[in-house]
Amino acid sequence: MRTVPLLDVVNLTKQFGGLTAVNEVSFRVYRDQVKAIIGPNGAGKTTVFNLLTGVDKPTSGTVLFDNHDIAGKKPHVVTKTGIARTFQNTQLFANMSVLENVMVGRHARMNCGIFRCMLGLPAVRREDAESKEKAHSLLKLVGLEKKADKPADDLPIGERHLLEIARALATEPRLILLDEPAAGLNNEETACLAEIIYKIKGNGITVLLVEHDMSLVMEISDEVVVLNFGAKIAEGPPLLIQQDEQVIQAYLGQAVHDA
Amino acid sequence: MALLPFIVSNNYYIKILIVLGINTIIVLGLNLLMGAAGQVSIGHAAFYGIGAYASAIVTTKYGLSPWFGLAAAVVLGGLVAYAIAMPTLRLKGHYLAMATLGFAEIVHVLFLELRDLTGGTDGLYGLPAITVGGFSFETPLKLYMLVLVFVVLSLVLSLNIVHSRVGRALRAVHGSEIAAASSGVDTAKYKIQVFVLSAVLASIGGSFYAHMAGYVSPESFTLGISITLVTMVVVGGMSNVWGAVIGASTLTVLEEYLKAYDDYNMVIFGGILILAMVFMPQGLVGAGAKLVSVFKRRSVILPDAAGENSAAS
Ligand SMILES: Nc1ncnc2c1ncn2[C@@H]1O[C@H](COP(=O)(O)OP(=O)(O)O)[C@@H](O)[C@H]1O
Ligand SMILES: [Mg+2]
Repeated sequence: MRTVPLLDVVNLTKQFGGLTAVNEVSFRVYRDQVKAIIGPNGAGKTTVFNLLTGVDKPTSGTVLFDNHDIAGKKPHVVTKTGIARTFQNTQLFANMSVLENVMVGRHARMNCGIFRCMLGLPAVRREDAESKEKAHSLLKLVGLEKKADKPADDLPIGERHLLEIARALATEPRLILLDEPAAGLNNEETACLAEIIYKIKGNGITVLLVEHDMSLVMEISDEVVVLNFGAKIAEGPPLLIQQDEQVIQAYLGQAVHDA
Repeated sequence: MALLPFIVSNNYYIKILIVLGINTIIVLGLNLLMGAAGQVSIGHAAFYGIGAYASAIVTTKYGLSPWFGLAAAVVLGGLVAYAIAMPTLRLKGHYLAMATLGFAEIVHVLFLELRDLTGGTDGLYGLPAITVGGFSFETPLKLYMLVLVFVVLSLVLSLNIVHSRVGRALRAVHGSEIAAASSGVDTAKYKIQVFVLSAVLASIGGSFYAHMAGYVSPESFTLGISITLVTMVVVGGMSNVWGAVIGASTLTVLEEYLKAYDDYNMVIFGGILILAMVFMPQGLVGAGAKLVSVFKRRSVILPDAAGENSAAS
């Protein structure tokens, strides 16, 4: 018998006008798993992430995180509960340094409000120093420590995804959602990314991943969910998914053709 | 800046310095709102006016001390700003600019029409000087010293904020609201906080202005003033707190030179605003920094280039 899932998604549905982007999707993510969501472009993968993180409100369905219903909660509330994410189209703070980007991720784990910050009290400086140190260690984890003081806008696309991962980790999540983190990475960089994901898992953080790079997905995931036109068409361990007729027809066959 | 009044003991110049100080306080707040958080207000003359009228009403109608006037300015400016920010800042996009524009026009009409309270077009006269214990800040020089204390305080508070957790949250909202929220920032809360703070600083500026001038009237708080304030923020440079000091200083002096062309104020400052946005998006602070880095690079590159040449020949 398995334990209570960390994330329990039940009949999640999202309609944009007449378009059903996510259609009655249910799946579970257990602690310490790496789970992948795959599917063709427009299948609704990013929308699922948006629904899980409060960026979009579900039309119907429930999202239980650690047994609490978080569907429709505001993004910053969801983050504080312990879900962090990265964005497929990276959303860095271009007007800030690489290090400061990660420090923003510490926001919910810090306390000093506007009055204390204004006065520059010792507590503010202590908290800041601590958060800077944590941010530095996360930059080290993703291999960006040398670029800490560069403007975030100067990073190439691959490193942008890595910075997003560091920023997400800074929120101290229990579950991290990665939206196509290997996009724009070469083989060597993708291997590094796999290492980073293993390290994240090693730190006791559960991973839910959207990714098109099938060899990466098959290597690191414990389980795979396949979406097509907003609906779940398969779920299971990578080896079985690779042989699933429906999946091959809807997605993998096409992916092989593309490659 | 602190030494200037001793050099020029002429009251005319000192009054300009007081206005410069007042503008700096207001522009520091606007710099946080626009530069750090990326929220545009084209109605801050309203808060400037609310501060001035609050002080004027409390002191002339109720005979209370100017310090109550200042307190009333802070409280009223803050509360009104909160009421405006609550519904508008929750929305995304440029609703705030529109809302502040409309709001400022309404406030201007209220200054004109609530005659019993505001004195209508005549305004209110006979504001007392600010005093502390037995000490009165009645001469311009003394008032300037007091304003200067508030300028320094506002500057220190602004610098502290920008480099803190809250400052990073504001800049994050500016950079990407969706990523800020997903990083744990309550975006609506911080947008409201910085808007209220900027309004309170404008109200404090208004209160000082009223006590310096000794009277208040509606024409001091028009759309033209709002645009002048925004121009100060942009010309100084939005990405740096010191830009507020530089923008407020240069344009206050310029405005004084252009007093004779007062009727064209809005055209002139609107023109400067557009030119600055197109040709100097980082403001004077950014242009200055670029100049410094160019000189630095030249002094580094020149010997290098010489070395390359000799190696080639
Ligand atoms: N905010 C939105 N408004 C309208 N349609 C949307 C919105 N977000 C996504 N969609 C649509 O929902 C579908 C799923 O999109 P998405 O979740 O981004 O797919 P994927 O990430 O799997 O490529 C697409 O048809 C997309 O155009
Ligand atoms: Mg997507």
